Amino acid sequence: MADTVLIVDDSVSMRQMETLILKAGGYQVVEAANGKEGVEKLTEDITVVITDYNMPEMNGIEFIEAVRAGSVNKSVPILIVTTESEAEKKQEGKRAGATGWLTKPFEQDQLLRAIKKVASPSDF
Amino acid sequence: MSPSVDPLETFREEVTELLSSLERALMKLEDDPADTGMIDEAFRSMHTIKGSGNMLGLTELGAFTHTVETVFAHVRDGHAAVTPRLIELGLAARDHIESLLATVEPDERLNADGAAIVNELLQEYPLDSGRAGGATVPAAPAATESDAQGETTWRIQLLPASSAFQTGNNPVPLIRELMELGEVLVAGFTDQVPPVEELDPELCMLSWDILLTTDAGENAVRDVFIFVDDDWDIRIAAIDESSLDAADLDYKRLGEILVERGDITADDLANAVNTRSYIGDTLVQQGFVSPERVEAALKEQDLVRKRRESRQSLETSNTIKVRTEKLDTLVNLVGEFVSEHATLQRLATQAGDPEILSTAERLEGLIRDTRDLAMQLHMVPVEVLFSGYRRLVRDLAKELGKDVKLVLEGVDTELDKNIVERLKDPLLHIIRNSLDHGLETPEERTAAGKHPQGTLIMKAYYSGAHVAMRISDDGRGINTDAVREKAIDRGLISEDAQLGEQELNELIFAPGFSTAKKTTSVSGRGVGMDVVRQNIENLGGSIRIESERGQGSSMHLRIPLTLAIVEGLLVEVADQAYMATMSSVVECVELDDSNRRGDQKLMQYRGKLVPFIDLREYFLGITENREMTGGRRQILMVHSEDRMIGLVVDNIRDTFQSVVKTLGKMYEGVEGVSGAVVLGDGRLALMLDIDRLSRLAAHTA
Repeated sequence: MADTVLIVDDSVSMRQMETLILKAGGYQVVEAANGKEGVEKLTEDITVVITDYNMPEMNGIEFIEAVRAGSVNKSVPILIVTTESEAEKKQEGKRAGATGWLTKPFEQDQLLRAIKKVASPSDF
Repeated sequence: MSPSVDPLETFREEVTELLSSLERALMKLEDDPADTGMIDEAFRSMHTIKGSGNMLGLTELGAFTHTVETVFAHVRDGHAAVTPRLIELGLAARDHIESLLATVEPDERLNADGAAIVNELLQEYPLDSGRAGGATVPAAPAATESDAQGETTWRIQLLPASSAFQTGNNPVPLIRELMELGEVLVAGFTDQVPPVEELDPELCMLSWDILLTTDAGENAVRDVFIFVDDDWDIRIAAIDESSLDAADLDYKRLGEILVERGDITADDLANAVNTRSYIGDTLVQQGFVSPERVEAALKEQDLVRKRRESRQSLETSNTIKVRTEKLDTLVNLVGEFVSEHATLQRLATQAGDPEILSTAERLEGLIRDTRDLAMQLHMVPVEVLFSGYRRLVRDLAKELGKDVKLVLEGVDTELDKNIVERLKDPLLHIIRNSLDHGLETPEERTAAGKHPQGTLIMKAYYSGAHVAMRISDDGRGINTDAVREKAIDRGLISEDAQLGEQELNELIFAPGFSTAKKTTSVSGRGVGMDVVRQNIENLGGSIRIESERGQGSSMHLRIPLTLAIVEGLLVEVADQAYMATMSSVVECVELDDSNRRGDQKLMQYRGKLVPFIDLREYFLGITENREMTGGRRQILMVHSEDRMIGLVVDNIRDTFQSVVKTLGKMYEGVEGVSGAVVLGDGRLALMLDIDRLSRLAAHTA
């Protein structure tokens, strides 16, 4: 079975772009419009999560904290995908339990590489 | 609503929604400016438009929304209040985004509209003060940093935790990320990997060195490693910056690099350095370091050197290269100008026409300015001269088994290029002598209670119309006993000569003197310090030595700023004009019997006994004949090095500026003159060699 990526982003177009890239890369995709929805849609079948930083309801950091403190697939690799690139924010993400960081805008293969990196790093 | 499969179409729909939520938020803010939830929503809609817009390559939109978003973040974070103007501009921004999205390619008018809104927003909310608190960074990360910093080369040492393979961390993606920042040179090390039979394939024993050249700034480099486990050893150091002085091409020595990288210790280096072969080979042979690490260090050395070289050629590209011959011609022409003007001045004075006189005076000012400029063009920093010796010192020290640090000071001091050229050889000999005779081997130094590394300092500074230079070492100093012995041996002094320490030191400048026990390849090139002194005096300079046994010696040089034009005082001796350089003249006094001391060539001057030379006697062999001059002769008090002498002349005339010409063969062997100048009336004046004359006076007195 193909690996499944959970995309958590409040922007429809962003989710769509990521979905297109990931499907072309051979992934199955589950979408969520904010952190709260992300927590609901996270199952044991999810291989990797990519999440936005700034979102209504529950932002990226709160989402990661919730996943790590929860009981479902709590150690799933999580990649933060955002326009933010400040070191402080990255540190904040790392403290919350993120596995990696990708700064927008990015090229298709950058996203696929970043996902591979957090999902199965020793394959490189 | 069935979602479109075209992200751009989806984006348009999304933006329409976001814009209406922005409008709603702005309207609510108008009613209640303190509603933070609304300003947050306004911010978020801009943020999303920016992010997706940039992803879709809509750069105009991305840049515009970035500013609007930043202003909203500024207000949201409490750095500024919501004003009616903000609501107004926010609505204008909303409309502008809508128009941007409606066109494929924004035209000029539209861009101008956007720029106007951005300007007004920034006027209303100057962002500089509160920017750090804003939630956003520029769309192109690190762009602002790079503008200020230029390119830097980083040495990144990556030593993964041995558990790296199990925890799923892998350096390769990191290296790839670094490659996105700039140019990368990678060296991998396997020397920590144990033999196969002891190898645990689960453990990571590899390490990497990455040399990254980027304009992205330190934070961007460090950011790459934020998501790396804390038990990795990651060392990041800047090894070259474009702000560094490009003239200083030399990077560290191989041994230094290895020590800095932690591949060997300073002790290892000190132990290995004692042998004479190539340091890299020695370290490998003696098992201090693996060949791959030496190779990596060599690559680093090479990279930095190349970068500095290319930077240097880049720097010269915004200047014009002029052939030195052209500059020389310019300086000479200006010199002729000065001479011609002297003639004009004299003729104008004779004619007595006030208009011609004032023109001549104005011309003089112009000529002076031109001369100063021509001089400046001809000046180069001493650094050009000094830094050329770095390599020499390094190679010589290696050859002699010594450890020497070269310290350059006052390298910005400027000197005439021609003088720099002519100083090369004399300085070379001084440095050779210092390394060969002065500085000791590390063992000798340690035994003497000194630091094993010797120091050679080359220093330059302005001193009046001269540049002073000091080349000093902290070596063993001059062995005056050996000097004395050698001088007696060579017949330079008699066996019972009573000489002080300083006089013995000065003997090294005596023709044909050398204290070297044996001729080494270094200092035994047949050129003695007498030639060094001669060369420096030919430049109109002087040299003296200070030395203290066991503490080191220093050579003190005084070099004129320029060769081309001198200012001097004209004097007359038996109807012949002579010129003394202005910088050596102290004052003029009348000669009378009361300041003579019998038949000795000594006179009273300000309570001191000062030797003097009667130039009439010296140049013409005529003993003083008072009737010829009516008994009113003058004494020119001049100083050279640290001596003062008097020169007895018939008359003192005027100051004069001119180009100094070298003397023809006819004057070879004439001591006491060093050149000639052509005067305004076409006559020739001879330049007095003050240094030579003062030594002569000191000896005969």
